[in-house]
Amino acid sequence: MSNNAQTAEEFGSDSNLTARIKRLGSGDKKLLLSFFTVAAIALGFGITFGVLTAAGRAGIISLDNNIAYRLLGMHGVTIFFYWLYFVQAGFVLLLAAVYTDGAGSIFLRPLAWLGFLAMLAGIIISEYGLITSDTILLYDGNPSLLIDAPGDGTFFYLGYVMLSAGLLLVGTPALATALRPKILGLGKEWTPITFAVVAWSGLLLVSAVAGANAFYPPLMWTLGWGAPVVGYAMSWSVLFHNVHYLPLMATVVLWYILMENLTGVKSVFGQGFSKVVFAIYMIFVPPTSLYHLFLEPGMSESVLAVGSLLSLFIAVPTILVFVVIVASLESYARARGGRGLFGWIKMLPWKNPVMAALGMATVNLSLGGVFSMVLIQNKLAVLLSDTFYVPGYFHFLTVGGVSLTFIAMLIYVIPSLTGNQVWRPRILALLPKFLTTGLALFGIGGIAAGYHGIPRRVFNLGYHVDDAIEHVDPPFIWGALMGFVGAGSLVMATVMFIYVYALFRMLFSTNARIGIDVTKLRVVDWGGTIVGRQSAWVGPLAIGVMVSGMYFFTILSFQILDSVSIITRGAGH
Amino acid sequence: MSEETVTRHFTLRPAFTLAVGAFVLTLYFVWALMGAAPTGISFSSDKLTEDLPPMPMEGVDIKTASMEGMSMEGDGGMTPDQFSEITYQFIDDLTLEDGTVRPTREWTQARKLAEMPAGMEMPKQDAEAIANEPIDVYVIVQRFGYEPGVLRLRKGVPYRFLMMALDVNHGAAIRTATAGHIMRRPARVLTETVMTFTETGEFMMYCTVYCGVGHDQMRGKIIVE
Repeated sequence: MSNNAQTAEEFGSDSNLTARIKRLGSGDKKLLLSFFTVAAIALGFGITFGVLTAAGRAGIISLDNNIAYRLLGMHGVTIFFYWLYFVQAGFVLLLAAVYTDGAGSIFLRPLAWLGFLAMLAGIIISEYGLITSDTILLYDGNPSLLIDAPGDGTFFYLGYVMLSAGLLLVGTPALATALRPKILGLGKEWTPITFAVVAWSGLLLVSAVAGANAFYPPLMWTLGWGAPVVGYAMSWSVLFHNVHYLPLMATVVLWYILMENLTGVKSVFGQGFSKVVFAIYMIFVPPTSLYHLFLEPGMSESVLAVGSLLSLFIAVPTILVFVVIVASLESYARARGGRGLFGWIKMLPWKNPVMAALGMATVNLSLGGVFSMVLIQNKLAVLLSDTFYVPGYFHFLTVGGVSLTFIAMLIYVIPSLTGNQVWRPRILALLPKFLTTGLALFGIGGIAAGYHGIPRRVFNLGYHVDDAIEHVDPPFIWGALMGFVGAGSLVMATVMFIYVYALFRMLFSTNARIGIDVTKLRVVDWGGTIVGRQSAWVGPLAIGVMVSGMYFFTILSFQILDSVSIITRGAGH
Repeated sequence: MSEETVTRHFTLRPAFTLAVGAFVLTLYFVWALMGAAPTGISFSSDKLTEDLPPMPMEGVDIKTASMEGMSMEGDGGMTPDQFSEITYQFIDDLTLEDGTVRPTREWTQARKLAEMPAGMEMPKQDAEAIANEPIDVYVIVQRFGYEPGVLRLRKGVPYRFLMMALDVNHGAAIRTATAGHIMRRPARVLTETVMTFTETGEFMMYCTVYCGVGHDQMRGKIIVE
């Protein structure tokens, strides 16, 4: 801990997030707490379904396929859609209200309540559909699986349509809260945070429309009121692309906000540059969805090539935000006496659970970024798509990067809303390292499994058949690698359960003996420091290492592809 | 937004930061090095640029034809029923005593001949050209297996895999000695892929696209001799 460390209360200017939240009215607080409570419940259930799924795959527990696939579907739906959207809905409403100059409260709050109720209905209906349906769908809701019994998918799609309606109803007041003061001339110019929140809310509305576009036609078909769905793969991939890049953008926006609150540091590059960086997301995200279709037969070579090329750009805005934050922190720390290439990093308030979470979130997001850039090369799709490589890499992003950042934000936000204390901050500050350890086991096992061709959605890898001619043994390593995945998932899930428990304690308990007031969490205040002369090499260096990792894994993947003893030509590789 | 204006170190200038952000785009040159750059730039020649005869995509190049005992219609596509009929004939004709199916060039040639419209003759090809022609392999993909279940192929010979998922979307990955070769097979779409196996061995074929609760029982076998 640095010698200039202090608490948020001492540091606490009006710009402090905690102070801003505490000024919200009780009606707004109730609404926001409703979103965050359901988000925490969804997270808890989603993790439960996920760890059971992973344990089943690893052979730690025995699951009937009927149960196993249902759990896998519920894991994906609950975490990927409901946890991520409930928490984001709460964040955009909160940030629009507290960071927009001249706002101060949520505009059109009744509409947001309607949105909350629609989303709540959505999660209940989705889970009911997943539990009761004879035909088991996974989170992507592929309607072709319902060919024999379309009615089995009605509740599934209805839940998703309700979620889409809810997002429309929530995104609108969030956007209106940010826009109204500007239109009425009540506030100053938008800060980069307000600008980012507007982009975020706008993309939530895009998600709502993309969701309705994907799920309304199959809903009508399952009810007997519409034709069988054509082109679902495309409408799903457009939605799916939005669903997983929106939380990524949200993550870097939260880094930006939290770093300012933890250190008093604002971007040394100026507001305009930050706005440009956030705007790049809106420019680069929509046209890069082609890579989800790399394995679809019939995709022309030119489409595949353009898809690969465009996908290269997707990493640019995330890297820029990372470098802006790290360079700003480094220059301030050096101006405050930080020494050595990495020595200044020790000056950050690592005992603060939020800082600890953000530190590991950046590491995990970088790892996920390295592995994800292998998949955007269309020639490698034939090696890795649909294998366990996919969950292997994306858990680094979704759990270790996105969810960890969202939880870090909730550690600040929930106690600020409830007035309750932060539950055992010392324990919470240790959790990110354990989570990353679990992720490393899961991710390395999963990525290696992908290179070995292990399919991502198969529970029993034995493929046993009682026939000498038909029988062929899968490689021994398949089972061993799933053991890594199972062990990693148990560690990850344990950490996440502790986080969920902590969130509930902060939501509903005020036990002063084991907690600490949110304003007493350690922070540093480097604001007011004269900066600019000092160099800031750690950000660029980190990007150099990350891009080198991309080079390495891309070359490795091509080498492995080259070792496959099949030469192919034609559709779908 | 900065606290005070001073002469900035170049690492704190927006232009430098943009350059760092754009550094990830250099991955393109690695793709080029691997012969996989989208513009076609290639510094190497590997199996990705193998000079095989150009193959048609999708099922649209399967010509409408009439074979003895078979009725085919449509605009160049093939219905699941038509595909099943040909595949079962393929299996009936080429199944060995041990139950495996060995596709042959003769069967492929005979089928081509049968596909020719009445009055047309097969273009004459020399022996070498015929020897380089891929041998047709028909595979039905459906819940929860492949038909034929076990194929017996030869190393170094190009095979034209004609596959159709008859019910829902499936995968048809092949696990070789080192890694998997992943293929998707969308429902009721005829796909065509030419594959040449360069090593002998027994390879498992398995589904990588979730297709229902029996997904993990869906497997086949390719014996390469």
